[in-house]
Amino acid sequence: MDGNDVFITGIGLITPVGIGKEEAWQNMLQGKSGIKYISLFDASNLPVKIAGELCSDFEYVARGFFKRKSNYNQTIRFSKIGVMAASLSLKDAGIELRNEDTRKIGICIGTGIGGLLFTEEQVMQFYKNWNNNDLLSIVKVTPNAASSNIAINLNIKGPSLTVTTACASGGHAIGVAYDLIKMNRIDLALAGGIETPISPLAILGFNSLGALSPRNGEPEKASRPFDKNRNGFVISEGGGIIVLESRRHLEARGGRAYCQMRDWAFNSEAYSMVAPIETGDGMGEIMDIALDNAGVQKSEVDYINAHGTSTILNDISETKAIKKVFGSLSSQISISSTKSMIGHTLGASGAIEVAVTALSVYHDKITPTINLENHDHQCDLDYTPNIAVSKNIRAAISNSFGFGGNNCCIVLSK
Amino acid sequence: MENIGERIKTILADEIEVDINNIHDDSKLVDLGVDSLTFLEMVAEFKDEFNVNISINEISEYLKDHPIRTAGELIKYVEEVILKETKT
Repeated sequence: MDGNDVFITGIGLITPVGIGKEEAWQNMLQGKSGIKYISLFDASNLPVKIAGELCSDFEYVARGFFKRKSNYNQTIRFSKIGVMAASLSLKDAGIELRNEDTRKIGICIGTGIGGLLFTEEQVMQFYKNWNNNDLLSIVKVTPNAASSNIAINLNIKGPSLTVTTACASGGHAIGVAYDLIKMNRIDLALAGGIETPISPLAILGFNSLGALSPRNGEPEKASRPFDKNRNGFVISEGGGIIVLESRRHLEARGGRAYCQMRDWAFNSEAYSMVAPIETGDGMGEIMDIALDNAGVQKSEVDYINAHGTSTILNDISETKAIKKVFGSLSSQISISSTKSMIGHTLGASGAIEVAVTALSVYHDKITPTINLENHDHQCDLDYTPNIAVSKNIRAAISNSFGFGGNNCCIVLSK
Repeated sequence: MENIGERIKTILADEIEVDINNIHDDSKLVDLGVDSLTFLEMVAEFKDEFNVNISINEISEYLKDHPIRTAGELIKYVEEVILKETKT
């Protein structure tokens, strides 16, 4: 036991299946899908017309979490998710900022492409009449807008960082915050990921790589990780911010922890901007290193929250990697993909999934991989198909793998 | 222009969440909590509200010689812009 042991004590979730930890968690336990037809803009001419959007009144609800109306007006959806998720997370942890030395609180936020839709709209406006461009466009689109707006609106004066490693950003942000606590630089951190990537350019770009599911006729069935008929991921928006807290701080205030974060690891495959090493070697290596760092035995791992994107490549490589790392134990481990329900929130996904994994460890419940209906002989492990299960979880890992070969694995335990 | 002055004050009060009765001509914008970003936001709102087409470059040029420090100076400037646009 060490005063710098790190615990997850608060969770703020903003997802296509629910705003707030409780609504999102309950809907995930019921295996609900948040994938629908795109309403943020006219997608009728696009090859992909489906996405995981937040509920339509999200921005209205977010207003109440800002210091002043002008602070709210100076942000786009991207930062609005951040400020609201951070506030919900602190509230969930039972932390009153007026009782804290906010110089010892860190903010670490991951994002892959930030507020791309706003950027596209501004470029379109530029070609129509630049005199009508948003005067605050730069302060709104800068990638650190979310972390900085969290600091400004909550008056948090410790280190504030933005991490960008594609779809592993949220996981990396949590990992970096963990390190800052272990190094004694901060007592607690608001760490997570935020993404608002639903835009014509993102859809066209990912579609040209063959990464998106074109299953426009059945939005709720489109994200189907590990299923034989999967044909790509579904792009989604959202955010997850957790409170990471040192044992010393947690015990001093007498708070509650969902689980301990035992350690993490990250590496680079140095192979491709888009594809994982097919054998799963890079993915496997990072799980091995993370478990070693954490001092957790492979036999203690009862649950893996997979990256599980629903692309052909990821799901096979990740399965191979798990088999390589866990050998004969692989078939006893429960695996599931949060993305089957909420789609792929890119840079936010790692953080949302760490939050879901923490809730799984706390409640001894595993959310399902929905739409897993057809057996793929190359994906032959227990992916918790379609129905949530109860299971004692001693330790769990959450995988995130990002474009550019950015791998990240986070280890949690009771 | 009296009515326009009141409309400007209403936008200002709404933006910075201050009671309109606490905004006087000699109220310093900095004391009301108006920073450069809030100022730009209000410019956008004025453009919408009064249907004027002034560019941010023109505003910057004006501010070099005529710094706007009070609510009264702000109202005067917006009124001038509206008047100029009406004439042209």
